[in-house]
This record gives sequence, structure tokens and C-alpha cells, in this order.
Amino acid sequence: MNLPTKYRPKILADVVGQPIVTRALTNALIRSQINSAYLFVGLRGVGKTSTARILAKSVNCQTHERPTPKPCGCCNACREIERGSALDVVEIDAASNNGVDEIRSLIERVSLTPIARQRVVILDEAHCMTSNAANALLKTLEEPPGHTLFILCTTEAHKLLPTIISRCQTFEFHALAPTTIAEQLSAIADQESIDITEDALLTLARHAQGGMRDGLQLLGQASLSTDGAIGVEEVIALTGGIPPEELLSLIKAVLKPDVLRVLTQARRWLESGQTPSNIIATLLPTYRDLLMVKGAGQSVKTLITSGLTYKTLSRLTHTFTTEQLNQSLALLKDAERLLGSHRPEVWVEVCLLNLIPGYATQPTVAIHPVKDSIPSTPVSLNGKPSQPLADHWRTIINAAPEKAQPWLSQLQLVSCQNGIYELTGDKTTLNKLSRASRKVAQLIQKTTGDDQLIVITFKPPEEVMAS
Amino acid sequence: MSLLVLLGDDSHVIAQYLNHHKAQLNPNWLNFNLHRYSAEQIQTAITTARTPPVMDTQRLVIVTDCPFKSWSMEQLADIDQLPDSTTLALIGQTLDKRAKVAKYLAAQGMTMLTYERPKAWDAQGIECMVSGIARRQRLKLPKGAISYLAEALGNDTCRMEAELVKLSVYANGRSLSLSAVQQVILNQTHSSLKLAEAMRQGRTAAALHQLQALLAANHPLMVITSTLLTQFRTWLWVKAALQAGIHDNQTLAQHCQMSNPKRMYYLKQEVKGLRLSSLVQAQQKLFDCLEAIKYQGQDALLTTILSISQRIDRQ
Repeated sequence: MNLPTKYRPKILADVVGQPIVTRALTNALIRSQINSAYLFVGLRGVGKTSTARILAKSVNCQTHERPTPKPCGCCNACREIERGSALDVVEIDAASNNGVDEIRSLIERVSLTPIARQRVVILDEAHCMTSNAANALLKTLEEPPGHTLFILCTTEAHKLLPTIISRCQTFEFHALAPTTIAEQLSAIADQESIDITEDALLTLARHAQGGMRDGLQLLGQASLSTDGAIGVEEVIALTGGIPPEELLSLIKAVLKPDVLRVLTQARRWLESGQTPSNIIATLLPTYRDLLMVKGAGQSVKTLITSGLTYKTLSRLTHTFTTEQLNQSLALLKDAERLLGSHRPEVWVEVCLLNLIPGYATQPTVAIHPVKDSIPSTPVSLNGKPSQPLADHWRTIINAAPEKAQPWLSQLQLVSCQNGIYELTGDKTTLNKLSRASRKVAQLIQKTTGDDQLIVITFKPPEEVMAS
Repeated sequence: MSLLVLLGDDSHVIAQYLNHHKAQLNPNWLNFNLHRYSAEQIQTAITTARTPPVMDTQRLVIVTDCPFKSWSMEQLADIDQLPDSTTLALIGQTLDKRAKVAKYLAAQGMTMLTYERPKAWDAQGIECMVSGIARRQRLKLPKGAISYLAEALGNDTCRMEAELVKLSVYANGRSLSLSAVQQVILNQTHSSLKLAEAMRQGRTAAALHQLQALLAANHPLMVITSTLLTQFRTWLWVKAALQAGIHDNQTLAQHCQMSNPKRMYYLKQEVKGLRLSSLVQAQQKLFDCLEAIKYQGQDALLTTILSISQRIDRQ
């Protein structure tokens, strides 16, 4: 039996990391104040369906005369529910039974008197119901037959009809903190006599991203993959990640800058079977963590998601400026989108080299007509070019190749602020500009001599007149 | 005979009222004595209502979604012949008292009850409702909890009831602290605004922790982002209007399309010391982020929040 199934919680007290839900439901069971419809909302693997099953057992357990928070787990009713063969407990995957007909037949079924104390309907992935199906369910949810308990589980509550939500008692299942997952995993590792280090558990827990099921699944895999003790390296190898030392050595090479080391590292990764998207996907959170640590310091220690420790990160941050980090992040984000190109391995190299501060040769260029509905205060002019701006533009034109000078002089500089250049001109120049925008941006960078990010925007003449 | 006319948009309270009536019927003979019709079947409904109850002393006939306006007198002609044992409940949205139908029904001795939901902006009305339900649930609420709950739950009485029952079950007779109430019943807008507040003040760490808390509690990314966008847009408008020399609260509110001029005082305080250009940039970034979260998920929002809260310049 795999670990998630084996260690599925059996009673409410066993559900990990959801104190509010378990307390409220336990009280409801003790006081016999059970609502006729519940809605469980939460990420995958945090215990929604498990809690729903426990609730089904709790109301129907035969060992106790009335609903109990501690179902015995050995009476007929409990065992049948666990096996999924109970007549009165219907568990439906709404993702595949989402039509109005299925829901109608379900409604017909629930009106029959149950054999056990209560008939329980568990609707998993309730957000997948079609709106017709949801509407068909509404009336029954509002006035359910006395012996029926509806439990709706969903990962995306905002996709449900508001009328459905308002008829249910909603319980929010929180994503579990990595430390909570690690604690539970370590208890299970002890029981299963799996030899695993504390750090490895934390890495596992981080990779589970708030879901206990994912964490258990990984622990199961890890226990099978090695004979000896499981360390951080084994876990990283298992999850297909990049070891922190290699990541650190790449960042150090980027900082130095050591172009050859960057290139060889990239090749080594690709040869060892890392996909380009995985490389970028590992670098992205690392740079984000760097930016986070740079901006907020010690207090965000718990929010770090990359493999590097806070100590390493904070040492690295001194060598970067916020601007550089932002630029690198923007680059990595763009890279993620461009990975579909036909030679991704070259793209990874280019991308890694561009991370080196000052090596990002191509300034980012954005060109689109500016729809200026919000009031702003750029250095603007009233129809005519104001003197300093025109001068500045003239110097730029003079530095341009002769071929480009005529059409560049047809353009006028409306404003330039923080590297944002607003140009105006007629339609033909816009077409030319959009084709040559990158070159123009490089030209501006060369002339002004600072390596600021240059953004070129085009403003239609009529809007210039209006402002 | 008793003729009930139930009006208003609060279907939950109307349903409760009818449940109260249903409870008086003999449960074994419900199928024979409890009927529910739609407005098109009004003739059948009246005929049923005229029949004496089976094995019981009462009969309840409910007609839903009644379009009183379009009904003619002929349709309701037999209504005066209902036996004493019958209760006929007509449910509709509105009934104009001056209309002929209304006068006719009044002549038949109708009891008209109106159940309107409090309006969404009517904070006092909603608070009143929350405290009423809380009292019925014997729920001891701490100071400030009523206004928090009113804000979090809105004017949907059905949801209000369900959530307050949940709260009372959670409390189990003990008194709750305000923070416990806030944990059990989440307020999505409220917590997203807290995030915007931290970003405005440039408190990066606080903003990141708040975001983490929001995500852990299943707040949809799109909702968080658009709340942030709305808030920053409001600040931008206020700041821009202030810089343009508009200081009067009333005019300011008009420019910023705010219904409540009293809020301007607080908004003015909030934008004090902020730079217009950084607000413009923040709006642009959040707008881009709205697009980016579709393919990058929470990463996009996190970087946007980082870059806004780190670069929000103060004069």
C-alpha cells in the first residue's frame, strides 16, 4: 500500500494542520448540530476528501449510538465506507459526472430513506459541475431530505455558483506550512523506519508545496530509491532539481564574470538530462529569493523557496543591485516564454550569459501607441517641440547612421523620463519605428552613455495635441 | 382561510417563514397537504387550495414567482371560496398597493409581509442583521466582531446564517476573541487591502508575509491582483486630482467617482508623501501582472509586489 493511502487520517483529530476545521466539525458532531451541506475548499492534498470520508463514518458509525468525532473504524459501516462499498455513502467525482442528468439521478437517489443513520453524498471537484447541473442541485441543497448530508469538495471555490456557496457551510482548508509537513513526515518516517535527515525532510516538504499527499508520495519514492540514509542530494535528484552547490557556483560565475564556467555549467546540466525549462525554472525562484532577501532581509527567512539557504542568499545579495536583480528576473521570465524555440539549448546559454551584469546587450524595447487616459506629468509640450528635448533628439539623430537620419528627423521627442522615450510622428514613421525600435534604443543608449533600460513608446500626434 | 402574500428579495428568510408553517402540518401526510406551484399554475393552485385537507386539519399551498402585475381579476376569482383550513402563500417580488389585484387581495383579508435584504452599502442594516442572528445562536461576540462580520459576509442572509452557525459551533458556548473570529471567517477584500497598505508604505517583508497568508487561505490570485489594482488606481486618481489643485472633498470625490466624500479625508492622508510617478508605474505593473498570472501564476504576483513595494518612492 502506498504511503498516502496507508496514512490517510482515520478520525478528525488525525487531520494535520487544519485546527479550525477539525475543531468546528468535532463540536458539530458532539452537539449533533450537523449542517445538511458542507463545502470544503482548499488546495490539492490538504485533506478535503479525507475529512469528508471521516465525516461520513462519524455520522454512520454503528459502534456509537449517535454521531461521534471518533468513529471506530471496525464496525460494518465504517469498513464499508473505507472500502467505498457503502450503500448510503455516495462518492461522486463531479469532474466526470458533471452533467445535469447525473445530478438528477443523484437527487432521486437521495430522496430514498437510508439504511444507516444518514445518507452522505460526497461531490468531489464540485467546481466541474456544469451550471445546469449546479442549478439542478440548488433546490435539493436548500431543502435536503432530512437524512441527507451533502459534502462538496473543491479546489476552486470561485468557480462555483454563489447560490451554491451560500447554501453550504464553508470550511477553508489551508495550505500546510513546510514545517508542518516535515513534522508529520518525520513521524511517519519513524514508523516506517525510513532513514532520512532533517534537512532532506524540509526539502521534501518544500517541494510538496503545501500538500501532504505530495509530501507522502515523495517520501515513499525516496525510501525506495536508496538503501542507506536519505540526504538532501537524494531528494533533489529524485525531484529532478538542480543541486544547490551547482546553482551557487553558477551564480558565482555569473558574478565574477567567468564566461567559460557559465557555459560549461550549462552544458553539464544539459548533458545530465536537465531540461532547459527546468534550468530556468530553478533560476527563477533563486533570483526571486535574492530580490526578496535584498528587499526585506531576515524577516522573510521562512518564505524562501529555492534550494539556497538564507545565509548564502544574504551573502550574495551584497554583490547585486536591486536594479540588476529586477533586470535578470525580467529576462528569466521572458526566457520561460521563449523556450519553445527550436534550439532551446542555445537559448539557455544566451540567457545565462545575459544574467551577467552589464552583459545584457539588448535593451528591452516596448513599442505601442500610448493610450493616455490617466493624468501624468511628463515633460510635455503644447504642439511644438520644446527646446531642450528637440536638442537632445537632434544629438541622437546626429549619432545615427546617415541612411536612418531622414526618417528619424521626421519623429519628434515628446518626453523622456527614467529611460522612457515618448516619440510622435505620422503613421509611416510609426511603421519604420516599430521595425527598428531595438536599434533606436541601442542608439539612444550609446549616445546618452548610461546603461539605463530604454523603453520607446509611440504617441499619436492627435493625443500630443490634446495633452 | 388565510391568504399570505410574501414579498421581497430575501428568499432565505421567506423559506424560513414557510418552513415554520410546514412544521405545523402532519409530517406523515405532507405529500397530500403540502403543494408547491409555479405562477403559471395559479388556477390549479387555487383549485387545490379549495379542497379540504387529507387526514389533517391544515393544508399549505405555495405559489412561487407570482407576477402580480400581469394577473387579472378573473384568474383570482375563486380565491374567496377557500376553506378555513387552507393557507395559500403567494410569493413575488413586489406588489403595488394601488393595483386592482392588490385591492382585491386586500379585500380577501390577505396578510402582506415584506422581506427585503439590506442593501450592500447599508452597513448598519447588515450589522443589525448579524447581531440578530448571533443573538439567536447564543453567540458571544467580542467588540468589533459585528462590524468585521458584516463586512466579510455582505448582505446574503443565507450565507450569513450558515457562517454564523459555523462560528457558534466552533465557539461551542465559549466566548471568542476577535482574531479567532477573523480566522474562522475570512474576509477576502479586507486582507487584500492590508496587502495594498503594506505595499504603499514600502514594508516589503510585511507585504510578502501577507501575500503568503492570503495564498495559504485559498484566495484566488486574480481576486488579490484586481483588488490591488483597484486600490492603487484609487490612490492614483486622488493623487492626480490633488496635484491638479483640487482639494475640496466633494469635487475630489466626484472626480474619483467615489460615492462617499467622507472617505476622501482618509485617502488624502494615505497618498500624502507618495509620488505620482511611482503610482503610475505601480498601476502599469499591476495591470501587466493581471495578464502575466495567467501563465506564470503566483510568481508573477510576487515579483510585482516586490518591485512595487521596493520602488514606491516617497517625496
